[in-house]
Amino acid sequence: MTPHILVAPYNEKLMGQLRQWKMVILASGESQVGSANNHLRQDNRLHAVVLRTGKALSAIEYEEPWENIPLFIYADEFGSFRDLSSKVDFLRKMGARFFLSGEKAENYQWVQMLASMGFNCGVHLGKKAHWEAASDLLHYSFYSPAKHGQVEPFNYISGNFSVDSSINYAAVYFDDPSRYLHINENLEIAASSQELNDGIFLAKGIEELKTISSNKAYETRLNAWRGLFLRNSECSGCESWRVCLGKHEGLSDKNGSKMECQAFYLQILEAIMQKPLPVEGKPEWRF
Amino acid sequence: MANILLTQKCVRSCPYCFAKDNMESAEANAVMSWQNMLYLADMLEASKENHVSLLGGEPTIHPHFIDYVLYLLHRSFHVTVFTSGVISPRLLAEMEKHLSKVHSERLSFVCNLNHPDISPADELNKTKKFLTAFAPFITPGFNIYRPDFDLTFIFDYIQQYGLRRHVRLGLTHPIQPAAENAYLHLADMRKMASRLMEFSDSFLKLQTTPGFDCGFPVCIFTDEQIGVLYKAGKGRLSFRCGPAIDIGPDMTVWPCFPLHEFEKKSVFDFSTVGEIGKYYSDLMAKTRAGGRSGIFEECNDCEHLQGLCSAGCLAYVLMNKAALSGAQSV
Ligand code: SF4
Ligand code: SF4
Ligand code: SF4
Ligand code: SF4
Repeated sequence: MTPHILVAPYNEKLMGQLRQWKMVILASGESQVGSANNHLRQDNRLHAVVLRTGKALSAIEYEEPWENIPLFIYADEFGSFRDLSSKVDFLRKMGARFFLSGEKAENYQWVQMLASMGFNCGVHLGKKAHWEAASDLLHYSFYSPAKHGQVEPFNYISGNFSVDSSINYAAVYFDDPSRYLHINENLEIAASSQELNDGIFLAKGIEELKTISSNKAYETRLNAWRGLFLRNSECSGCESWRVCLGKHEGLSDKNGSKMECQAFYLQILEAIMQKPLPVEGKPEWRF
Repeated sequence: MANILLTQKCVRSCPYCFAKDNMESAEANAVMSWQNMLYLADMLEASKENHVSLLGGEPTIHPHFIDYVLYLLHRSFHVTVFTSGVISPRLLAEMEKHLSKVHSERLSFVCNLNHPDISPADELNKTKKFLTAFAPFITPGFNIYRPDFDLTFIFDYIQQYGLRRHVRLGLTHPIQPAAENAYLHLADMRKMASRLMEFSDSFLKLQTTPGFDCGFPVCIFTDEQIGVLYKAGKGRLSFRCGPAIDIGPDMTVWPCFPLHEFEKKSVFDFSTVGEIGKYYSDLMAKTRAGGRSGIFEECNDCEHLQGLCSAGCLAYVLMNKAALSGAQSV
């Protein structure tokens, strides 16, 4: 089994303790991006840096053109286009990917705008999504006649979906426990960022981390999807299940005979069958 | 090339306004949304267009005007903005902050200038501030709606502000179907041509090229006058009528303002701008066919028809056809 990639907050001590693992560093300020790179790059341990400052995307200040850092910039809102505009040339050189929260309806359109300018980007589809806006973005991503950047999670799903298995696209948010584990300064380990925040831990400490693959809680968590069927949730009869894995269970409204989420994922499946997205990007880096 | 209307409102009320009827029939607050702008930018790109024009009403009053210009520039389009130049000081300051560093080959303003005598002082003041701030980007435009027009003030502005040495001359046409705007009557066409020639020395002396917007007929000029205009215009003279392609904030499309009621369609009915152009070119040609095809009786037998001249603005032809059918039904 490929060793996990650890997702951790920027913390020099922690980076030192986890010397055996590749890491995704969660930077909360611009200055931590370069520092994380300096710490981890030389032993080839930096998988990615996720910068989340709490500022609007357009308001983030970039200290240097972090050209060769696999950088993901997350924001809850876009901000103002004219503020971003002056940074566009700089951002193009950087090759960063931009993710906006899916909780705000207008963000889907901003993601489309960023993609139309050639940026690779994505919308963070959490439990609650805006299905109509998400569907517009999906159509743009698959069917627009104009050249554009990659839009996640559609690109990932299109590139990794196979008819005979399921797929966890949360990998694009570093939230797929089969590949990523989240860890904090106390060495508490969780399957996702949300679970780490909520105190739902799978293990604790370096030794338990090393043996996580044989850990019972971890195995149960990997198979958590089975619960959808055991408790006979609306997801158990859902045709979109293999792409969604019940991510919006109990949180989506019904539209006609289908759940809104179900209709959305069915559109993705239809698009993949009709016109899968071209596989692009740096082959040496993958989610 | 396509014209994208950002707004359906204007800050001026020019007597000849070509957009007035359209603005009155549209929802006053209709503005081009980001979603539609993104769609149109993609459509233009897929149509291999590299130029886009932004119009109104007055396009600069759109709350995202600056953003749209910047966005289209980032998408590698050349952008031309058709404006009255009547811009509030606050917006002008923002425009200077964000647009004045753009390369002037990529961004142009065509400033539709009215004679100072018919311009209220406040408007004039604002326009002059705009001319001062964006001079290297600005081509002066002038719409001819009466035969005794005066271009002297335009030449003065070119020198005073350092504007681009080109004047875009528009002939005002009767907006169909009502023709309620002030427009140049056919009977005045030759007078207008003679008047224009009175400024030929100024064009030549100031090395300023005259540019004809659509609908100028060839035969209102003598051969000698055409020669002078050819020289002044550095060999570029156009006597065409062809669809301009105007796209409204609600994504309806029509061939040009005078024909805004003529077969409005939705942008979504077409895949490319080329398709829209072809649709309206064919329709306009079909409309001209049968009976008098041009603005003058002589057009049908004219040697210039289809070669050098499109036989004037179709709006006059429609007006003539309507008058004829009215007379017949009487
Ligand atoms: S699409 Fe909706 S109904 Fe289907 S599995 Fe996902 S959350 Fe459940
Ligand atoms: S500036 Fe243009 S849109 Fe405004 S009133 Fe004059 S002609 Fe009409
Ligand atoms: S086609 Fe008509 S308008 Fe044109 S030059 Fe001939 S007569 Fe004049
Ligand atoms: S009908 Fe022809 S000449 Fe008249 S405004 Fe339209 S495009 Fe121009």
